[in-house]
Formats: sequence, C-alpha cells, structure tokens
Amino acid sequence: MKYSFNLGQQISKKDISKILNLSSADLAEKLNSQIGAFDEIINWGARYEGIYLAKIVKLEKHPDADKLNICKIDDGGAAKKVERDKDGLIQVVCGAPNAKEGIMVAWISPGSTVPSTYDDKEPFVLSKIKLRGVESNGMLASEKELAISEDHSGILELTEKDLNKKLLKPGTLFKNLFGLDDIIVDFENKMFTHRPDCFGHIGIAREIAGIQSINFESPDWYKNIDPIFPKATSKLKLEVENSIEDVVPKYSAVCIEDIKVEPSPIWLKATLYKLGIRPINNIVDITNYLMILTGQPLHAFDYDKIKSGLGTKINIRKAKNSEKLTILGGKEITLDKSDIVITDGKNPIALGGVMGGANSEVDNNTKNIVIESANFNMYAIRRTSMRHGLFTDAVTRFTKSQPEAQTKIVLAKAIDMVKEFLPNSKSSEVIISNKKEFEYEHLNLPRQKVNTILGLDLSREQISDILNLVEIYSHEMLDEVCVTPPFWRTDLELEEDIIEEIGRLYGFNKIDAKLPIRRVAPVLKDPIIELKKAIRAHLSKLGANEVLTYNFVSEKLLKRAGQDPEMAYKIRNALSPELQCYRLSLVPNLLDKIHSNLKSGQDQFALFELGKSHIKNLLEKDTKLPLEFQRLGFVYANKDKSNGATYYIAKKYLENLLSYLNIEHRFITLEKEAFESLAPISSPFQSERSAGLEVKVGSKFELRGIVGEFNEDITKNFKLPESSAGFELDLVTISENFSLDPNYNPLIKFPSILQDITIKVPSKALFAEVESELRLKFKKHLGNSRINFTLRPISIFKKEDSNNKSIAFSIEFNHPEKTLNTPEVSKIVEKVKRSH
Amino acid sequence: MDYKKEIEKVRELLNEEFIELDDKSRILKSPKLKALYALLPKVAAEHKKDLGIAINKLKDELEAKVKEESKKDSSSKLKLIDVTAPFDINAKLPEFLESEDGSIHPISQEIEKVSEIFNSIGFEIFESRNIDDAWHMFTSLNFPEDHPARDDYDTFVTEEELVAPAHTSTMQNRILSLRKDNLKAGLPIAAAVPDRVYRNEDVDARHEHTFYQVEGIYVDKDVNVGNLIATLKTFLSAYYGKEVETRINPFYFPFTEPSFEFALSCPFCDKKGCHICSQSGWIELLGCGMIHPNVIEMAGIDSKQYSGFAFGCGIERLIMMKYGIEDVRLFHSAKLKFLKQF
Repeated sequence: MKYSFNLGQQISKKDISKILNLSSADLAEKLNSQIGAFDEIINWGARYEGIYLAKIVKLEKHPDADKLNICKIDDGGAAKKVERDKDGLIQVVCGAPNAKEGIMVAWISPGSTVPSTYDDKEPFVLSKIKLRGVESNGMLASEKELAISEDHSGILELTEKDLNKKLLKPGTLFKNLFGLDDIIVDFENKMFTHRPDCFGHIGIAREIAGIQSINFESPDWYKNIDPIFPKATSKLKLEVENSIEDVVPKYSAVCIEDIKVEPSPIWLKATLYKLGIRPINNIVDITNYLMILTGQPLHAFDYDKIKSGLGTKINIRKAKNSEKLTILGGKEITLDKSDIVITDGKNPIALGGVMGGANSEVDNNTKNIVIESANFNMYAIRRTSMRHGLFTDAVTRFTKSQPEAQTKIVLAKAIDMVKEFLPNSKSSEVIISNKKEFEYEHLNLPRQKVNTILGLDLSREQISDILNLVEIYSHEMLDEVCVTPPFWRTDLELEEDIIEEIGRLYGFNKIDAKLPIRRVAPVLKDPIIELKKAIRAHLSKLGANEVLTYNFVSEKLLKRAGQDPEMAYKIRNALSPELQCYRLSLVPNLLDKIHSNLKSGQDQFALFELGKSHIKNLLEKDTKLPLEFQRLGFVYANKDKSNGATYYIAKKYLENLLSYLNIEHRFITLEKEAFESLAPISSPFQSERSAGLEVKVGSKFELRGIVGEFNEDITKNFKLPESSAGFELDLVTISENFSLDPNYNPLIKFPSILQDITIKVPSKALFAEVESELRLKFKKHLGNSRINFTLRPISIFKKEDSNNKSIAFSIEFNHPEKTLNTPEVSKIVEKVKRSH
Repeated sequence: MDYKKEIEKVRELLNEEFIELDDKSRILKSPKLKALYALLPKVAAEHKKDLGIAINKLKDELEAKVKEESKKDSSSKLKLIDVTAPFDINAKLPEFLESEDGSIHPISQEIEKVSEIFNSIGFEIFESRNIDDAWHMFTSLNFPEDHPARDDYDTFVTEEELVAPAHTSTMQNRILSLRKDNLKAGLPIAAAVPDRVYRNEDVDARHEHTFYQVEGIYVDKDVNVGNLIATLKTFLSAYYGKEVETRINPFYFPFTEPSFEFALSCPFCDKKGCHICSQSGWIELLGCGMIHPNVIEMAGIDSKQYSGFAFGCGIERLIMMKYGIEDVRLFHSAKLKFLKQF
C-alpha cells in the first residue's frame, strides 16, 4: 500500500507533515516501530529536478524532417548552463503533433533525467544533441515522459484549467505542481492484513498523526455514517435486487445521467500515477481516487449497456456453474456457484468485488453511468480471487473486511465528485439494498489488563488519550476505559486488539524488558532428540558426514531406487516434478548424492541422514495424520574396490553404533518374504547381500532395518562406484531402549592368556552360529572354573575350490582371583577343538 | 555290472555336490563324472552305445543346470555372503574412515546449540512434523478458513489436502494441549521447536523451499510484552556470547496480538554498521508476539487467566551471518566440500 504524504496532508485538518523533518533514518525508524514494515520510502519529487514550465514562443518546421519542429522556448531564465539565443530563448526540437506557438509546456532541461526513466537501470539523462542537423536542448515532455499518466500522444499542454495564473508561467519548477514533490512510503500489505482502514490514505494519515501525538480528525464527509445524498434530478430508473445478503451485506448504487467521459485533470492523473494506478478516464479515475482515500472500492457501469426495457435492474446473485463472463481486459472466465456476480437481471456484468465485465465497461462514448459502492464478504472474495487468479486492487481491499458503513459514505462522495467534474450531470435516487444501519459497540477495557499484557503502568487517562489520537473514542469509567471503536475499525473486537493499539502508539520499545518469573522444574527431554544427537556425534566421530536432504523427491528418483511412487504422498502444487513426492525412505536421497561428491574429488566417504519419511495411507491411530517414520539412513562409497564385500563396512558402522547405544541386536539373512516386508526401505538393496537388523524388544527380536549392498540396477541408476553399501533403520524402538552408559567391567588384576583356535566348517555355515556354538562349548568346558573368556574373530579363510572354510578366533582367558597357567588353558582349548 | 544303476548313483552324488559347490561350473570337472567315462572301455560292446548316450545325457543335464545357475548368477552377479560374519572370507577387517573426515551438519549443530540454551532457561524441546493438516497449520492458529493471511504462507499441499508446514507454529496447539496441566501445577508451559519447514518459493541464493525455524512458546499467568523481549534478549545474548540490544516493530500475524518484528543490535559490528547488517547496525531477526487469546482457548486453556508469548526465528540466517555463508542452497546440497568445513 503506497501512501503519499502530500495526499495524506491534504485530507488532514491538522499539520501532520512535521514528521518529514526527521532525518530519513529516523523517519524510517519511527514508521517502522509504530506503524509497520515498509518496502521503501520514495522521494517522488527527486525525479523532477531540472524540469520547468516553458512557453513555446516560436515554432518552425525542421528543414530536414517532416514531423519535427524547431521550437524556441521561454523558461523565464530559470535554467542555468543552457545555450540561449540573443532573446534568451532556448532551442528545442520537438516532434509532438500538438506543439504550437503560445502554449505552456513542461521542458526537461539538458542534464536532467526523463522522469519516466528515473527508476530504470539506466535512466535517460538528456544532453544537448543534434536532431537531423539541428541543435536541440533538452526536450518538451509528454505526460508519459513526465510520469503522470500513460498518455504519449503529444506533449503536455498546461492551461488555466489546470493551474492558477500565479503558477502558470515560464520558469515554474514542475515538481512544485500537482503535489509532485512528494514522499511516498510503500508499506508492506501484509502489515495491514487486519487493517481495512490502512488500505486508504485516511487510515494511514490517521496513524501518521497518532504516532506524532496529534489528534487526527477524519474529513467531515467521511465521518458521517448517514450522508445526505443530493436530490435526485435524473429520471434514469434503477432497481437493485440482492438475493445473497449473507455474502453481499451492503449494496448501494446510483445512476448519473449526461456525463462526458474525458481525461481527468492533471492533478488527479498525477496523484493516481505516483501511487501505481494507471489513469483511465475521469469516471474510472474518480472511483480509484476514492478507493485510495478510503479503502472502499467502487465500480462504474455504462448504464445504457446494462439497460433492459425502460430501466436497469441490477440483480446480485451467485453465478451458475459454467456460466461465462468476459472481464475487463478481454479474458473470458468460467464461473461457478461460489462466485458472486452482478447481473443486469439476466447476464453477469461484473464479478462482484473482484473485477468488472467487458460488456458494461465505461468507454469514451458512455453517456450515463451506474456507480456501485458495495460490501462483499472477505472469504467469498478470496475464494473467487484465488480460483480465477485475479488479484485486483479491489480484492486486496475487500479481503481485509472493509466496513459496511462506508459504502454509502463513499458513494455520496463519488456523486459529489462527478458533479464537480461534470456540472451538467444529474444523479438519480440512491438505491441501498440493505437498510440495516451500523451500530456502535462499546467495550470496557480494564486498566489492569492493559498493564498486565504490556508490562506497563498506564493511567486510565493515558490510555484514553492514546486511543483518542486515532479516533478510537474512549473515556475513563471507574477503573476501566470505555472504548468505542469507529466504524472503520472492523478489526477491533477483543480487548487484546485494543491493547495492541495502545502499545503501538505508546511505543513498544519503551517497555521495560523483564524476564518472566518461573518456578524451577527440570526440563523433560525427548528420547528421540537425544538419540539423534548421540548418533550424530558417534557417526561423525567414525568419519561419516551428516547431510540433510529434501523430503521432496521426484517420481523418477523413487523409480530409480526401485520404489513405488504410488506409495508416496504427492505435492499438488510442487515447484517442479523434481520435488513432487514425499520420500519413502532416506537411502535413495543419499545414493543420489554419491556421484556428485565422487566427481568433485571425494574418493571415499560415508553419508548419513537423520530424518523422516512417510508412506501414503499409513496413519497414526489417534490423530489419523500420516505416520512419520523416524529414520537413520547411511551410505558408504569408495571409488576403489574394497577388501572383501563392502557390506561388511556398512555393517561394521551399524554394529559399532548399536553397541555404543547399548542396543541388543542381531543380523539375519533375509528370506524373500522378510526382504519384501521391509519395502520400500529394502527396495534399493540386494537381498543376497543384505542382512535384516533385528533389535531386541523385551524378550523378542524385531526386524527394524536393513544393511547391505545395492542391487545392480541401483548401482547403474545412481552411477555408484566400485564399492558401496549402506543401511537404513527405524529409530523409534531404538529411542525407547538405548542408553549411553558404558558397560563397565571391573579390571582384573591377574594377567590373561591368549590362545588361538581355528575351526573348519562347511563354507555355507553361518559365522554367527559357529561363534555361538563355540561360545557355548567354552562355557560348557569351563564349567564352574570362574574362568572368563573373550572371543575375537581374526580371519575367515577358504581355499578357492574348497567347500569348507576355516574361521580363526583369538581367545583371551582370565580369572578374577588367580594367574592362569598356559597348560591349563590349552587343555580346555584342545577339548573344545576335539569336540568340534 | 548294471551301468544304469551306476549312472543313477552318480547322478545323485553329483546333484548333492552341485548344491554344495560355490562355483557351479566345477561340477562338469567332477572326478565322479570323469569316472563314468572311464567305465566306457570296460563295458561290453553291445552296451557301449547306450552307456555313452546315458553319460552324455547326464552331462547335458549338468550343463543345463550350470547354465541356469549362471543365468541366476548374472541377474545377481554377486554371490551370497554370510551376513552374520564381521568380515568377508579371505579379507581383512574393514576399517572406519578417518575420524577427522567426519562432520555434523551445521544446521544440526546450530539446533543443538540453540536447544541447549533454551533448555538452560527451562524450555522443553519438541520436534515438528513434516506433514500436517491445515487445522494445525492455520485454523488452530486463528487463521479462519479462507482467511487472506493464509496467502502469506506459500504452503505446499498434498493431493490429500495435507500440508507441508510452513512454520513451526504448527506445533503450538499440540504443545499447549499436551502441557496444559503444567499450568494447574503452577508451572509455565515453556517449549522450543527447532525443526524443518517448507515454503513454496522459487529457490535462489537467499531462498529455499526447505529450511529451519525455531519456535518458542511460553504461557503462564501474567505474562507480558516485557517478558517476551527479555526472554529473547537473554537467549540472543547467550547465543552470541555478548550483551545485545533489542528493538521491536509492530507487525501482523493472526496468531499473536500484538505482533512484532524483532531486531537485535548487530553482534558482528556492535552497531557500528557492517556488511552483515547492511550498515544499519540492526538485524531484523524474527517474528514474535503475545499469543492470541483464540489460540490459547483452542488448546483448552482459559485465556482470561493465562497469557503467553511466542516467537519464530529462521536458523539458516543465524548460521549464514555467523560464518559468512554465501548461498542458502548449500545446506541441502550434501556437498562434502561444504560440510567438512563444520
């Protein structure tokens, strides 16, 4: 929302412009801290340096160009450093068809910038040039070049209609005219989502006054909720039938007869243009001007285009499904029954509150008009606007809940303005669809509550003084302040709403910062957060790198990872197909990051991620929201062939992590069924070279993850290197069972004895079974001897064509109370060997 | 000699051997098969032909088996391994990577740091969700259905009308409901939620569709704006390890009233003006405010008795300012050259 300080001052009874004496930094600070964030403060006048009014004294045809004229202009001697002839006149070549002797124009002197290009990357700065061999100093400017409208049909010609005589003379600085020497603040719209009034200049001017502790007074015509309409002089007939008062609570309209559509006066065009609104014609400009003053959008229809029979009957209703409307600008849209349409009794002539229809547009031939001032339900307007992708100035305002009471007031002002511009026009009776009048509501605000929330100690008097600055009518009453929100503050409903106003106008930064007083209680810790912290610390210590990848992946990636995209939640409004699906597990994302890292020179690395994944239709029991699986994904990659299967590296990481977390677990060969039950996690893995991870829960082992190598397709699809493997597991069970306490064993004072044992088993025998059998045997043979032993695998050896393998273990023996001797131990080892 | 019986016997033995073999093709070189050929010269002439055919038939059978097996093998070229072993056959023990190559993601580090500070001032840490419903994301936070304020949150929506939360405030209602008994026990509700959020935004050096926020909420009796400012100031001073000044500007959020934009004095130049604060001496850091009574009521807490504050702060920005990181996209790039620096 752009706010013009000049326009704000114009509608204010008091001087509210002193704030502009502040340095630009202080002004910014003041606006920011007491009104709200803005994008920029624009010095609009700066673009008019070096532009003067000048009179064309003499005009001659250019000898070498049909369309050019050589003008001698009089700038009243205002410009310095410019070439003049003996009469003090300046030569300017001009191609405008309307250039003629005796007219007053705007002249941009050499060295100055063409205002319309002021904000361009490379502004057009004029210099003395030759046009077809004739010297030209600066230029005579069109409205477009002067940034006051889009009109580029000729140069701007100023007459007594536009300016009083005192100003209408050569040498007058152009920026001193039409309020162009202005400061414009572009407030962020979202600051005012709850402030319908701040989408009009009256609303912001009121705040500008308030923060300077000036009691603002709205213009009289705006304050009167019961405006007096001029007596009907037109006989044009208008009927309004509003069948949807729930979403169009107020609809008022008037006919104006015998109007003449023409360009608006310069001041109006310039005012609209600097606020970012394109001037169209006097009628449309009046509606826009009143909108930027009050926040109330208006719309004008061509009366004759919507007339049927003897008069016009406006009917407001919901659109029919697949009904069509061509809106202003020519686009045809297809409506549905949630859209509000204004009709001529039969066909839609406007999309209510959003945009007018092309079929009822006011054009240069329009003789009679209907002006509409209505109120629309903000939610209905937003739905329609979103669905059709139409974001107009009217939508911006109606979606902030404009006050109903304002419709009549602004309509009355519109009639006044049209009559002022076109004194021969005649207005009809005003039709108001819903006569329900606005009623003021009072709210008793306890002083105590104000001070409790703000942390201040304001008196009742202070509170009501502050509120009265911005016309929130207040007076003291016992220990409360009785507050009456004005009609334009539809946002003030709760005590908290009013307390916010008090705090803001008082200055939030004057509030004393004091820490809350709280009772001390230990902070609860979420085990899943603690677990993730531990995993992060441990895996990074083991040389792995934590990464974060998106939840969103492409269908392609899922397919490349062997997963079924149908299982994934899909984003309806994804930025691109690359980000369309919620990931099903973490490993595919990690696989996707391997190749690029290898290419950038990382030869060997491990990536892990702690994150969530989702599977469509798997819901939480109580909330019915998607289950969020807490996962750890890990991949290892090496561009060289690893020593033995890479599986064992991934397994080593996982095993080490789980022992650190004190999680009892085992690795099992995955049969087809179990492997598939782990999909989509297991999908990228190769079943023959992967193990299931089982975690002990109570007395049972439960399958909680997979560790292994990736299947051939995956290796190809992700361009994986010679060696790669990984794992993925579910963290919830682990978070419920982990502990970071070390497993301390008391130190044994007596030396231990080391012995090796090699066991030959069929090559298909599982190591885990061999080891546990061996362990059992030692236990059995050691019996009650109190000798402790620790088994450590050293090697697994197999001759190429043998069907057997040899597993070698190193065994450490010790006794808590004595020194063992070797023969004693050897005997046991022998026994075990023999029993095998 | 019944050569037919002999062949049957060898066929059985060979089948057993075949199952045991790692390299299935070796079956064709089995001594048992060779022994059959050795029988040929010994049998009577009239049987020679039949025996020859029988041996060849057996050999063909075996060849077919080997071929089939090799087909199976090439579909999974790699052999079955003993997944319970700690290392491979004839291989050395695998080794971990160098410890110094390991790294923790800078965002995780920052979240841990921030969480620790909040823990130390009594805030419990919660995770947020990656998929949520519009009720938690909007309605529970006083954004009515079709409210225009929803437009300011460019939210990703799934086909099921679920949302990728655009702010960690999506957890406010849950936490307030979960911990409302604290209030009866005379304790405040104090929680921080550092987690991932999503915005449907075009990505560039300063914008990501996936980023991190930390949400804070505090509810108790008589909580005021001054408490909010002091809490944030305490947090930021601890975070930067120095006293910072703070400043608040009014703002609009539907779930707080009043709402603020919170700035701190630039900790990198101590307000002298530097490139990080764009020479202004101040850094606009976060949004905050007093929790809207509707939000408190929606969690089943009496807003007449209790009030509170909430705030939300972007995490990446904190890190980027601190280390001079030039591009927000690096965080989710998984580039080791980036990650290993932390």
